[in-house]
Amino acid sequence: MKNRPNLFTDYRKESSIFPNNTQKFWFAVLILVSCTFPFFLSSYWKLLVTTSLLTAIACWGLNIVSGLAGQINLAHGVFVGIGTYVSAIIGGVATSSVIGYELDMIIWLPLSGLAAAFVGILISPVSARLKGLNLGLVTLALVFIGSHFFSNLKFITGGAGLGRKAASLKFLGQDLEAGLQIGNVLLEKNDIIYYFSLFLCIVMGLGVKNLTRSKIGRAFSAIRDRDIAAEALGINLFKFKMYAFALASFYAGIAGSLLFTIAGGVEPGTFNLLYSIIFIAIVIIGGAGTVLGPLYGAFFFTTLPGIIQAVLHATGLSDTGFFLNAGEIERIVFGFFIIFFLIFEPRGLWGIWFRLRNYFKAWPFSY
Amino acid sequence: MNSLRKRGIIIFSILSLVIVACGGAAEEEVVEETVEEAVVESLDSPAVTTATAVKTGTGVTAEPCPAEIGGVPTGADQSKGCIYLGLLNDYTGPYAPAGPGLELAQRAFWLWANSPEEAGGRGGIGNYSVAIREGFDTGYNPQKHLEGYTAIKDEVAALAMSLGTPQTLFILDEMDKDNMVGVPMSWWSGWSYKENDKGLIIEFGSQYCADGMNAVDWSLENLGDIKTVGIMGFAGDYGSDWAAGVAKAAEANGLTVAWTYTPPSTEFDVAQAVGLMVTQPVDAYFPAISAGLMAQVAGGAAQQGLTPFAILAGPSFNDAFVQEGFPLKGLFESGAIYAMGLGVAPYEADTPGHAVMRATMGQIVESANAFLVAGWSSQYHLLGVLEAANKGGDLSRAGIRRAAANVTVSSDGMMEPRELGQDRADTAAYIGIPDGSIGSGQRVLAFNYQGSSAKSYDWTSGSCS
Amino acid sequence: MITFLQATFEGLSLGAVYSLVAIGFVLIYKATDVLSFAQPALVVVGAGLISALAVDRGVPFWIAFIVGILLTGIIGLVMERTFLRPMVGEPVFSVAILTIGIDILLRTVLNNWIGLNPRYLGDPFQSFGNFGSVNVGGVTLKYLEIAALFTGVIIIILLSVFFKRSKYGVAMMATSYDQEAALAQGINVGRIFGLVWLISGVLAGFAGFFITGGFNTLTQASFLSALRVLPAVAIGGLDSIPGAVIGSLIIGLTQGYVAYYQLMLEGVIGFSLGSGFSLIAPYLIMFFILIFKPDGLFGTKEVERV
Repeated sequence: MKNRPNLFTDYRKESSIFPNNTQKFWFAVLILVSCTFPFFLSSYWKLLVTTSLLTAIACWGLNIVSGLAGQINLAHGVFVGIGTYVSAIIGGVATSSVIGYELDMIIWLPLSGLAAAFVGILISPVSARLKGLNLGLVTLALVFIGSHFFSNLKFITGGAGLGRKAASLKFLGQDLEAGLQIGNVLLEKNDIIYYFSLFLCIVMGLGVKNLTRSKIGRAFSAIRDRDIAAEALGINLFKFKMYAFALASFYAGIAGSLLFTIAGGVEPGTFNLLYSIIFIAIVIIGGAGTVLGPLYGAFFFTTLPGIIQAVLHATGLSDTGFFLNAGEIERIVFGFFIIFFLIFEPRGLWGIWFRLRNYFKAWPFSY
Repeated sequence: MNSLRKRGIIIFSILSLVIVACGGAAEEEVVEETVEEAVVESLDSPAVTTATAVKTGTGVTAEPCPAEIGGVPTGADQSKGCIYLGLLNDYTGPYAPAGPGLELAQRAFWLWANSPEEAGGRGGIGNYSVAIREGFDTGYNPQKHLEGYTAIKDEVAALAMSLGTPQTLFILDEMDKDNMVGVPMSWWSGWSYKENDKGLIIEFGSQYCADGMNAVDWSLENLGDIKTVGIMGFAGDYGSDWAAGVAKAAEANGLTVAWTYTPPSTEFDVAQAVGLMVTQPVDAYFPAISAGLMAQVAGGAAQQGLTPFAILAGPSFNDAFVQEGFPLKGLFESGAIYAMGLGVAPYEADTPGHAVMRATMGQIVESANAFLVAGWSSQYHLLGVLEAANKGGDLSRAGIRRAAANVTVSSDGMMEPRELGQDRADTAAYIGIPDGSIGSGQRVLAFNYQGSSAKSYDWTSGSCS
Repeated sequence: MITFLQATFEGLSLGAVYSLVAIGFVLIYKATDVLSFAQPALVVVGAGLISALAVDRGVPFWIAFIVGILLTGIIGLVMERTFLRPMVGEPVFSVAILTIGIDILLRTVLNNWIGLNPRYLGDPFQSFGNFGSVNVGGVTLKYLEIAALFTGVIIIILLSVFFKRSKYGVAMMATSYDQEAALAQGINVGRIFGLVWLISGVLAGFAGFFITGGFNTLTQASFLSALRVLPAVAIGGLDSIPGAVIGSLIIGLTQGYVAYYQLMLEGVIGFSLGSGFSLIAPYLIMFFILIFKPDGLFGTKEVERV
């Protein structure tokens, strides 16, 4: 009896993170394999994977507020920006034009998340008053107001068109900018960021999984499905919407603090409307409301340019005088993916994976 | 029924894609033909044999360059080795319209530089020809810029272009580590200073800050009585730098600055720009914005009966303004509006460098666009650096970087000869007047002009913005 | 006083252009429950079509104008038939995101065509008077914008007549009120949806002309002007046509007054609001109006049943 994978003798077991040993095993394998990536991936793909991991964290945040709690948020990119700039102030280098205190990562990493969460809490009363598209439109206003602040607070952001350097890596007093020597292995700066991202991604991912199976997560689902019914059941809408925004912004802030240390710097124009929309698209393409969906979506979206470039090279399409260039084709494909996923597979990549898995589980029977 | 409809969508999408593809391809064919006609292969040069061994490094190969990259022949000597350059270009971002033109001109430059001296070229760099690898699309996005740099850095000896000032600043640490020098595609005054570019960026042409000063000085000398001025520009390396230069020259000349309007490019409001001119009239204004907005601002002010003098920073002007049928042709040719160049004088200017450019470019593309000039002239100093490195016997990246730190480069008169790495910005500016009868849309009024403000300014004090 | 009148006229004419886009937004939302983020893209596509016909192909301007606007309408119709029809009944937000996908497609192709130089539309307005403007008692009135104001008024009158008098108009109102009930009454809801998108496409075409006409020129950034309509729609209420017009006028006037008086205002309050404030002010107004009136000034409050 005990060895049957889908037989649960109590509720606690059914809702556990890894309901059976197979999943535990594969999860462990996945982590171990991920740890070896820096040793065989080219630096270009390493960069893409690191970006994917951090993007996934930000998308989990959006997924909490939009996918789980059903509150439309078009301003997620602004929260990422807040995280970025808080980390840049605390951990960045001061120049003649911008401020920076060069503190340790152990300080700026959590603080950037908390600062974003604080702004999220400030915004949340709006969501208690508005819902649906109107909330979406107000958050849209936030995007523009946020960019206005970003581009005018020159002592923080360096101003539009020039930008500033992101936070420098210093962990527990150890300066990691030049890399880290462990025995015979030299870890470069990007390797270190990769491991930080991997670690954060695992922790934050487990955090989302835990959230879905906790009281708060269930309250979120109730609010998403019917907020009035949820209120009738005794769920304090104001409180839980505040939680949702705070958590989402925390995730965004954490992701933002590291996302631009890879690129070396950040320009305020980055956090425009398209930037926020990309997060929404990733969540939708990945599968809104699921735990793994945003992760798939982030990897899919971030590596898409690399894949398209490779495909174009392999097929030689870019040289045949096709009137769109590679970058435009990439954008067209991106647009079509949003459309087709919404029409044909609203559950996103996660839905495809789910069906594939079930198909092979039951193979050779169709049901 | 629903699935039927979905099938309908798929069929429709495929059909539309096919139609779009066919339509586009047909349109493109015309352009391609002209390119192919223009191919001038110049591979009949004798092999150059020099005995000195030149040290080489990443991005320099003993194998010859490919005959063609990116649709433009490289003109490489098949008996020589190859120095590869990288290209971080924008094909999809805000500078997507300019990117391909810049690239075309840069490739054309090396086509000329690779061709043998008997044919009027430079005969490559010693035992090597030079080729720009296929461009990487950065979309003007810092993240992608770094991705692009990472993707190409192990295959190139230097960067033929790194488009975008903030992006280039962000990858400077990486470039420093790799000893990678590069050419910018902006005329930010900061590129002249080691504190900003670590001696890695090979700047070219007069930069916006000096342009701004020269614009003020020139207008005072030539346009008569100017007491109050207005400054407008996009925030950032371009508009702010220009605005700083204009403000410094205005102060030096005792002019009143009525307003300074420098929002980010996405937040530029034409209504406000015109409103400022109406509420606070000025004798002259100095815009550093985009061409599309420039027409709206100049036209909007003219409608209100305001035609103050205007000296436009290079990117604010476009030859479309003076083409037949454009509603503001009369205004732009009225003598109230003047334009500066993109670091260098426009296509038709009378220098040996320009003549060579016209001879080469004229065979490839029929256009006198300012971006073509910018692309071409951007490579001149890099050529000088590579030649110096070759002479010094070290074509490794470190050698190229050393050469870039102290060498005087010239550009066949296109720009003033420049001593690189001297912590001082170039100040010789060009000023023209819009004229529809000329291909580039402007007639040269002043060339290598240096006003009193730019001359007396303490250029050792660092970048303007 | 002259300055004030001038600022008012500037604001009103901006508002008139915005209202053409805004009415398209509202029509679509009212009838099909879709907030179309693709509307700004349709606006610039319309301008692009006119320019391609009138300037590149040499078609006389007025023919190009009419054909371009009709073609824009047909693009709207095709969009609905292909991408949006299967989404009927899906959550409003999903459909809104889908229109962002359409927006990306349209603009990528259009930007490829626009290229480097600003494109002009070949209209004759700018050759009248002083660069297309006339001075009335010290206030400059612009022909293009007067035309926009008149077009806006005429379209609003035509639309209200259409909704009250014509068979399809009444059917459209019924559909927007309750799709299922309309279906039960024998109204071909699918055809109505198509018609709505056609009309909004035509409106977008008009707006496209007025935004990029004359020396305003069509560039890759023209799309930003069309996007400024969003706060107008939100202020007026997503489902109210008069609301859309009034919202647009509020936005236009805000932009106009801030443009003319920001320096003075900053002098009074003693600190800078930042360059580019005139484009942020509409969003600030929208933010506060929505907090106090969640459905906008004229939007109907949704009655919720559990």
